[in-house]
Amino acid sequence: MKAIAKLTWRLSRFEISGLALASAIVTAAALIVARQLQSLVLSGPCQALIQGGTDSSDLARCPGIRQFADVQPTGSLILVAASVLPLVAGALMGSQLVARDVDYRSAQLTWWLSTSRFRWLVERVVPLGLLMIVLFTPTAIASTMLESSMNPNIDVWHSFIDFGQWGPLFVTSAIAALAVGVLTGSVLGRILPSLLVSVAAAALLYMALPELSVLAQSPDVFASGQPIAPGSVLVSGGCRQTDGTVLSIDAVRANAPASLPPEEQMGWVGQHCQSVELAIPADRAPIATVTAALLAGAIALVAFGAAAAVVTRRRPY
Amino acid sequence: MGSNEVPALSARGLAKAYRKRILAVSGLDLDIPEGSITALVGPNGAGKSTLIKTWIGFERPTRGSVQVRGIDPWRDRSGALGLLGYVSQSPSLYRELSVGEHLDLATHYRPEFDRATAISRLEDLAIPLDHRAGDLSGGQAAQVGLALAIGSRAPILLLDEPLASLDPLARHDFLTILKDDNRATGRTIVLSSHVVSDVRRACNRLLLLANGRKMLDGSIADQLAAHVVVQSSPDASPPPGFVARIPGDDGTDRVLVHTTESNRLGDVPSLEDIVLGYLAAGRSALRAAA
Repeated sequence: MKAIAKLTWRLSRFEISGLALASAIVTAAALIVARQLQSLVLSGPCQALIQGGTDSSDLARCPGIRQFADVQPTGSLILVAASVLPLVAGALMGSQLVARDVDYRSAQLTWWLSTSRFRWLVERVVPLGLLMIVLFTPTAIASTMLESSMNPNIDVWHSFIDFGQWGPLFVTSAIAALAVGVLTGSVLGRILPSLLVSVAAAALLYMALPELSVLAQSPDVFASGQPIAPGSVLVSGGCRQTDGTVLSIDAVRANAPASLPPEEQMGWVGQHCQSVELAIPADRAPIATVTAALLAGAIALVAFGAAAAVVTRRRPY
Repeated sequence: MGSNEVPALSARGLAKAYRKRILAVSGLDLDIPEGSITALVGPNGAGKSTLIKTWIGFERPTRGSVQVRGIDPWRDRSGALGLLGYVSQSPSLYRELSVGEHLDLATHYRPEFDRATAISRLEDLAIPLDHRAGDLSGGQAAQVGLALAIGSRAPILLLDEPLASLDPLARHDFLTILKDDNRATGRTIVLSSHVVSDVRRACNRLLLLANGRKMLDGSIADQLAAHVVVQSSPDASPPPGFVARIPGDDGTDRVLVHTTESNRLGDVPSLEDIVLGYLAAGRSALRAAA
């Protein structure tokens, strides 16, 4: 395994060094900004203003709020960079793994030397998987600290605010992107096309993974005016029927008598339904996080299995 | 080879078609006996690389089968690969790794790898172990490939046109090493090339392919003994045992003839004469069929 880890380093030392540097910069930036925000210790009433609006009287009462508001956008940018980096890293490293050997024809040497191509693939993927964990665990921790500092009045672990831009998803999505990259490289066998397709797939993962794992949670029904915990996800509005079922406003409107002119239909809807809001409560965020991690893990397993199937059958050129 | 002896390499009814259904090899039946050095000769596109790549398991036969000591490489790849050493047509070393790191890699994948022998061969050729593979000349890269194949202790070596990019001295060194290794270990070697004069020095068998078909297969000594070259004018009727007119640019009109009991007169042919004669015969047959 030492020889393979050495080979991985020698083949990709520039990419690995670049990614390690990028990860270190993003992690350090997240920690610095988090500390900066934490140093602007805001009292309880001032903390509440962070999520709400402020006016001149608030600024007089809470002088740190302006500075806090000035730093927050930087924090948001760092969170975006921190969440994109693992996916880009996974796509970059994964897409090169097989494609490079096929493109440069060294697969003809190693696929002869290694009598099992599956073993060859596993031995090449494992060091990179470990690298993803080592590189992005600190980034995940730092980004979580930053998110907590940006929202001092919220328990971020029980919140959907900036969901997917902090926390353990970094590592799992990096591994999913790595596996998808390996699959792409195995199929295409050419470096540049594999890289482009892998980056596109990583972008899809970036958008879809958090979205799907949030939407997989069934929303709760809140009567209009009923408080919804901060950090919850508002899904839609609706109408609660007398039998308790909830329909969309458009669905209730479709039941309005056809003889009613359009401008009176909303009035009819108001009389026939209790307005409600559908929201995924913030306390389901841990479940959504686990769902996203499992989804990423499943994508990684399926992609790796498919890559193994391709590698064992394809030509080494 | 005895009737019960399993050949080192074999093909039965082998056909391989690539995209657009172009046949690279067609209906090949052959056996390569243990311990031989076989020259796999033919023009570009004859199917030499395809045949080697089906034995190594890189190409899957479209029809028929190939075997490595009785093992089908598509059914038991690791079993077949364990018996094979391979040097590819183009350098396949990792450009970023040193020569020594290639030996580490080989030792990792093949614990039985004979590192000492490989190092000794490379030192004899003045190829430093700390040199990056990307900085090696074509000849040095081919020698590193050969050292890896020999070091693998595989009983069969498949060499896919390794001489193509080598200068005459490097070709000489390469072939000398092959011959010495075969003499010392009894290893079976298949050396593909389209340069007949090179392989004549090292090989004792000839397998001639043209247009994906077998034209000749047997010991070089037998082939030389079984043919003569005679002078014949173009309008004369073909002599008994006629194979083909040997294409040449020296103005002479020479004919390759298969010797028979009644016909043993003529010049001893060179291996090149035989190869050229059979290739010309194959071309004429192809034209006639078209």
